[in-house]
Amino acid sequence: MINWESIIYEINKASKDFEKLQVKSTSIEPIHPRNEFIELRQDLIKARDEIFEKHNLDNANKLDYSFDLLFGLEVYQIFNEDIAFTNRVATNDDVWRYLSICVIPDIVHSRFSLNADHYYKITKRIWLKTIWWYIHLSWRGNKKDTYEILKDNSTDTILQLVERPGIGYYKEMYRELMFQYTNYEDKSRDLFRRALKLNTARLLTISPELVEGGIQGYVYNLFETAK
Amino acid sequence: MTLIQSTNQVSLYRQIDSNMIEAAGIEVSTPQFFYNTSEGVKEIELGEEFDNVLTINEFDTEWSPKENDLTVKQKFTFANPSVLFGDKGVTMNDNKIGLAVHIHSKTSGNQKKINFGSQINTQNKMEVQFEYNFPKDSIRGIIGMDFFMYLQDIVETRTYHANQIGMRLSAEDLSNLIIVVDGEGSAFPITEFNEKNGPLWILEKKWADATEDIFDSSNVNLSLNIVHPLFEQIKGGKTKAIRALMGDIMVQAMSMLIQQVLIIEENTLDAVDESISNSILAVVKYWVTTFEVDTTSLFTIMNSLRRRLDHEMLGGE
Repeated sequence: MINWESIIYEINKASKDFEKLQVKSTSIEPIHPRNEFIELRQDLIKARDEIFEKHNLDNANKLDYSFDLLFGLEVYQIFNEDIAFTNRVATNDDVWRYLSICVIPDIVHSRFSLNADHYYKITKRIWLKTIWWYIHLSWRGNKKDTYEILKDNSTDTILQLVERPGIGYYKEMYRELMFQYTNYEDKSRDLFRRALKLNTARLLTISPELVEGGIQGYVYNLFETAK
Repeated sequence: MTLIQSTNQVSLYRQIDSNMIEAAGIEVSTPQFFYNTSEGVKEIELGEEFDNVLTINEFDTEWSPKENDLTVKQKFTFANPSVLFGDKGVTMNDNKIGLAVHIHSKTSGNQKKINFGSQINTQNKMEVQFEYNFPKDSIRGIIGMDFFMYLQDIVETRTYHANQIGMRLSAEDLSNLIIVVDGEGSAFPITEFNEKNGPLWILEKKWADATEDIFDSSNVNLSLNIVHPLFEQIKGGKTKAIRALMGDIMVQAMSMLIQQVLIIEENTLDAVDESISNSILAVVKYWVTTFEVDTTSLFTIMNSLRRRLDHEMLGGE
């Protein structure tokens, strides 16, 4: 059983271990997570392999949003209550750093080479963390429905949504926002950006749950004003 | 009519101010905190002068955020609710005033607002009991709970009254609670230096732009002198006096930073770039919001911070 609470992995330690990572021809070394993480690593590698095969990504030059979304959905399913992965664990940056550098650095590498920002250096840019939170803040109750509402988005969407933690994510409102967003055409992503900026301003004085129409009405109004 | 200015908005409708709170006989009880154990529900005993900052382990060393849930209860009494209604009140007689709480925690990655009761126009004394449970293994760091009143239902209105459902009616919050679950808030980078006969601590400002530069020791350097006679004691934190000293160092450091960033450098809190969550301005904003700091002057900054944090800093024996 994984003891998430015992992971202590602050930036200096992460940095030292990151420097030791070496890219070999078919692997990254060293990868020696604690025993209790071996099964988790296997599950994550298996999920990654299945995605690669199904979407023919072995031949891709570069991985992009579609991998973020597909792998993110798998990560969200794997990191659940069965392995005691709770909200408290998801808000612990030590955990995300440890997972990125000690458990699946090879998967992170396939997405971002050896860009330290996405492993540990900039906490809001730790890739694994951003995709988990992206799915969490958009979750429709199951993988399929969540995929449907997110498939046409981009890495910019992830950034806009996840990199605004403010005084805490407004989870229920964000889930409604991601759901209603599918009703709008937004190739340039400008509408999404505008809606989120407007939301930041409005939250200072308006309570989404308490207005007429509640969260649904609030979000609808946000998009209608921003478009 | 009261013109209320807060952050960057001016509300042109009447709100419930301290006079009206007194006239309506609105009282908020001392909160109560409980949690479930294998032996049943246990209450966390508070000190006599509880100041609404609950550093849990200071009161109950057995409680842990991972193993235990936490229930918060608080009672709101309205002795003369009818004062709030009518032409001289904040809303008309047949409307409804809602009671709500804003629960927010950056460290737990969540915020939400919940209605927990209503107040109608009546001659009777009214009581509303608030109760909320945080499941075990869900929260981390610091949680803020701000209680307020808002317009819940409208039948009739006046030009000087709030006219939309959801509009805030209480000028100030009815009550604020801060719950410290992990014993340390936003981690403050602290370094060490070596200076014989030097001061116990120094604070250095090294940043160029508070809106962009990160809140870390390269930009904000709070440093303790390892050869100062009190250094070992400060590190050990064994007595109330020593903990109070360290706490006061933190209050002074935070105050200086807030003053520098907001008053001297004239940054505004809404200039925070939400995409840089740990910029110096973002951290200052978090402190100001969570601890409700009065940013008028260095004196009000320090006094309001001390009011919020003083008890917490003393710690438990």
